[in-house]
Amino acid sequence: MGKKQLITRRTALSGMVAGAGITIYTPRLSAQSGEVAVGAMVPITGPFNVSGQQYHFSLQMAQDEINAKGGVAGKKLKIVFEDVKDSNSVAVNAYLKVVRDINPPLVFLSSYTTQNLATEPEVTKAMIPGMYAGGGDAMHVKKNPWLFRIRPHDGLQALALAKHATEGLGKKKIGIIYVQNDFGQPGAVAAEKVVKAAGAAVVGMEAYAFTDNDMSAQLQKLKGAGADCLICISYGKDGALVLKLLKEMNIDIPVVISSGVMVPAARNLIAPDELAKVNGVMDAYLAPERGPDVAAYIKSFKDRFKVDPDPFGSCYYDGAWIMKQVMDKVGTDRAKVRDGLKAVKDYKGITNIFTTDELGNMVHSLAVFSIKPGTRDPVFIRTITA
Amino acid sequence: MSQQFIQLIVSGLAVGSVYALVGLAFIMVNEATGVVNFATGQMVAIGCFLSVTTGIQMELPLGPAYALALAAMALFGIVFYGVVFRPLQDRPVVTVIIGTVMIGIVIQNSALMTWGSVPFRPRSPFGRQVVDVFGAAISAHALFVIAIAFLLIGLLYLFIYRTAIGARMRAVAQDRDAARLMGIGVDRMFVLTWVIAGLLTGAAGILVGPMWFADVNMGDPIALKAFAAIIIGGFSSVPGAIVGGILVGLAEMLGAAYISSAYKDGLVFLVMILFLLVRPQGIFGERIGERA
Amino acid sequence: MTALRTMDRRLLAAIAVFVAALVLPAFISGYGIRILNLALISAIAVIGLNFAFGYAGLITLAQAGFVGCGAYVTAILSTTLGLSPWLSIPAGAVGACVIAVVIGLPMLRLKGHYLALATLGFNVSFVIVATNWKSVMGGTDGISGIPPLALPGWPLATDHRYYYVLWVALAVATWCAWRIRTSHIGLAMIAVRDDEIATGAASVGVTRIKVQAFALSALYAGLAGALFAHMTNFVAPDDFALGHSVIYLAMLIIGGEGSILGAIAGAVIVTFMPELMRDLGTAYLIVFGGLMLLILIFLPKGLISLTGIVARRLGMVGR
Repeated sequence: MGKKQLITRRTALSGMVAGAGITIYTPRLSAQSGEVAVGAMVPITGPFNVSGQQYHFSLQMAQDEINAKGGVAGKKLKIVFEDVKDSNSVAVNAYLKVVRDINPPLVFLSSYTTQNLATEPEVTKAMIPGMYAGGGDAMHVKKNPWLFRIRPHDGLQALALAKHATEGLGKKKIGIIYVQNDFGQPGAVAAEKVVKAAGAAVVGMEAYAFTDNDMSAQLQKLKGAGADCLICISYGKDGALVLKLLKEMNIDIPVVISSGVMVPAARNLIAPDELAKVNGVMDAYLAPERGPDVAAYIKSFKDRFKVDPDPFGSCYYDGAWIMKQVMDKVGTDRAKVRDGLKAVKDYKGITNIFTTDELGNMVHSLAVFSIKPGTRDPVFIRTITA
Repeated sequence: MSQQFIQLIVSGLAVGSVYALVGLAFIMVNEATGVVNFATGQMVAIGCFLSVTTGIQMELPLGPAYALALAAMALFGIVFYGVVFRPLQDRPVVTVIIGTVMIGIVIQNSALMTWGSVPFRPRSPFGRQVVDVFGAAISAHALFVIAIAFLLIGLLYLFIYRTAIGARMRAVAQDRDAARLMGIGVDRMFVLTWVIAGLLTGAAGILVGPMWFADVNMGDPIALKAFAAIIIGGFSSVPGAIVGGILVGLAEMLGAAYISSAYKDGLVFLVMILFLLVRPQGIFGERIGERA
Repeated sequence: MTALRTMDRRLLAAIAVFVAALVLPAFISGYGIRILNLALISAIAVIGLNFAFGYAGLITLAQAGFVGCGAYVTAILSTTLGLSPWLSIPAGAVGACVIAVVIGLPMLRLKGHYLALATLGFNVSFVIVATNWKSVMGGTDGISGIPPLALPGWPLATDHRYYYVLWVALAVATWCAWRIRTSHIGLAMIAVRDDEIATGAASVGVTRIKVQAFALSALYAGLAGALFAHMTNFVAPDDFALGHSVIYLAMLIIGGEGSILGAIAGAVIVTFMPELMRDLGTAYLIVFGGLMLLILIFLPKGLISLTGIVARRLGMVGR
C-alpha cells in the first residue's frame, strides 16, 4: 500500500469527523435583525417534488411580493426552505434543523400528511405555529392548537365527490376506486358513507397500490358489479391511468375524480376524449375570470416560473399573506401568532376564502368542474361547502 | 364473464411479458457475470425516458426514435460495465448487491434531475387503437408488447444457443477461467452481456412507456415483480423467466379480480417466498447446491 | 510491557470517549441531538445485523422489517393496550426475535442471493401488511401518540434526555455483542460462515446456529425499532421499507463487516451523511450513492480499516 494512499485515507477520515462535527455544532444562523425568518418544509427533491415544486414557487413569489409591500411586522420577510424529500424522518430532521437555525415564529409544513403526522409531536414540543396543506383527516383529529390547514381536507373532498355523483349527477349505483394509502383509504370510506346517506348504493370498492400501473382488473370488477358512475380517489398519474384504461376497456360511464388529476400537469397526460365524461373537484378554480387579483397572480406566476400555478401550491401563497396580515397586527410572538391565525375569518385569498374552525381547518369548500368537450379545459359547475 | 376473463388474461400477458423481459436482463447478467443487478429497474426507467427524449422532445418518428434510444441503452450497458462491474467484479455477492443499489440511486436521481418529476405519456406506434379479441376490447399496444417481448426472447434464445458468440458466452458463464484458457476474450463477453442487458431493459422501458407512462420512479416496482418472476420461474433459465413473468402478471390481474386488490402484491411475494422455501430452483431451474 | 502500555492507552481512550459522550448533549442543539440519537439507534440495529451478516455470513435484506416489527409491537402495546414503555420495549425486541425464528427456520436453508431475495420478500410483505392492516397497524397513517419513556418524576421526553437512554442501550448492546462474539456461540457463527463451503450440505447444527444468528440480529433490530418508536412518538410503514434494509447493510459494509466498532462507525457516518449534504439539493442522492460506491470500491474492508492505519501512524498500536 503506497504512502500516498495512506495520506488520502487519513484526510478522508478527518474530513468525515469534521463534517459530523459541523453538522452538530454549526452555530445558529439566527435571523439578522430587521428580518423575520420563517421556515418552509418543502419536498424539493425526490418523487414528492411533483407537488413540492409548486409549493416552493408560490412561497418564493409570496416572499418577494410581501417584501415589496413592506415585509411583515415592519421587517423584511425571509423564508428558509428545507428539503423534506419523500421520507418521514427526513421531514422531522428538517423541522428540527430549521428550528435550530432560525428559531422561527412560524413554519410552513409539508404538503404530505404522513410527513406532517411524523412532525406533529415536534411541533407540540417546539410550540411554533404551522400552516400545512396535506389533506389527511388524521391530522386535524389531533386538534393540535398550533397547526392550521390551508386546503380543503380529504374528508371534505370525499364528501364533494360523493355529493356530486349522487345529488349532482343523480346516479344510484356508485363504484369507488381508490389508491391504497392515507389519502385513498379514508377517502373511500367517507365517500361510501355519504353515498349511502344520499340514498344511493355503493356497488363496489376497489383499491390499487400507489405504484400500480394497471388497474384493469379493478375497473372490470366495478363494471361487472353494475356501476353507473365511478368515484375515483387518486393522485395525478394513477388517476390518468384509470381514465386511459376506462377508455381502452370501453367502459363508458361518468367518473367523478379527485383533485390530483385536475392539475395541469396531470391533465396533460390524458387525451381529451378520455376526459369527456369526467367531472373533477379542485381545491380552487384558478382562472383569470375569477377576478383581477387572481388574473394578476396567474400572470406573474407564469411569467416567472414558466408553468401554470396549481391550487395545491398556491394555497401556500395565500398562507404567506395570511401570515403577513396576522403578524402585522400582533407581531412575531408565537402564541400571539397562533391566536391570530385562530381568529382568521373570511379572508379572501387567491385560492379560497379562509375561516379557521376549531380543528384548525381554514378552508371549507371546494369546486366541481366538468371538461369542455374536445379539450382539457375545466368548466366550473358548482361549489360544494361542508 | 368470458369476455372479461379474456381482457384480464391479455392484460396479464402484457404485464407479464414486460416482467419476463426485465427478468431476462437480470438472468443474463447473473448467469454470465455472477452479478445480481439491483439497478435493473432503473435501467428500465432510463430506457423509457430515452425514448421520451427521442420520441417526444426531439420529435423524431417512432422508428428512428426507438433505434436511437436502444443504441443509447447499449452504450449505457458499456458504461455500466466500466464504472460498476469492473471495479466490483471479484467482490463478495453482498458488496456487489449494495454497489448496484447505490448506482441505482445515482441513476434514478440523475434521471430526476434530467427529466423532472412530472410524468410523460409516450406515443404508441398504434396510437390509442383498440382491437376486438373475441368480444373483448384490447388495446393494440398491449398486443404489440406481447408480440415484441416474445420476438426478442426468441431472438435472444437463438443467439445464445445457435451462434458461435452465444456458445462463447455460455462457456464464460460456465467456467470463466477455463474459457480464458481456451482463448475466449472473457472481458469482451462481459461487455457484450451488459450491452444485451441494456438492450433488454431498454426495450422493456420503451414498451411500457405508452402503457404505464414515463415516470422517473417507475423502476423499482417493475424490478421487484421481475425478481419474483425469476424466482418462481427459475433463476438461471430463459424459459423460467418467461413462465415466471407471465405467471406473476396473471397472478396480479386475476388476484386483483378474484381475491383482493389490496393484497394482490402481497400474494405475489407470498408465492415467491413459498417457491424459495419449497422449490428454490424455481420451475425450470437446476438444483442450487450445484451452484455454490 | 508494550502490551500493557497498549492496554493503558486503550483504557484511557475508552474513558475519554465515555466522558465526551456524557457531556456532549450540553453543547448540542435539538437538531444535532436528534441526528445523533438516530445514529445511536441505527448503530444498535447494525450491531445486530453484524451477527447475521458479519459473523454468520447471511445476506439479509430484512433488517428494516425487523426494526419495524419492534417498533410496531411496542407502539401497539403502549397505545392500544396502555402498557408501560418499560415493558413494551423489551416486548418489541422479543417480538421481532420470535418472528425471525419463525421465518428463519424454513428460510435459512437458502444461501447467497436466494436468501437475499427471500428476506427482501419478507421486508416488502411487512410493508404491505402494515399499509393495509388498518385496524391494528394504522395503515399509512401509522400509529401516533406513542408515549415517551419516563422515570418516576423525570420524563425522558426531550431528545437530550433520551440521548442518555440510547447511550446506555447502545453500551449494553455493544457489551453483550462483545461477550457473544468471544463465546462459543459467536465462534460457531464464524465457523459456519468460513466452513460452510468446505463442509458442504448444511447439517442440523449449522441451521441451528444460523437461526441463532438471525434471531439475535432481529432482537437487536427490534430493540432499535422500539427505541425509535418512543423517541419519534410516531411510526409509519415508510420508515421500515426495503430501502432502509439496504442502508443498514451499507452501514455495516462501509463501517467494516465483522467488527462491532465498524458497525457503530458505519451507522454514525451513514446517518450523518445525508444531513451533511442537505445543501446539495437535488444532487445530494447522486453524490451520496456515488460516495458509497467509491467506499465500496476503494475500502473493501470498510472505514474501520482506516482507524488501524491512523492508530499505527500515531503509534497507538505497539510494535
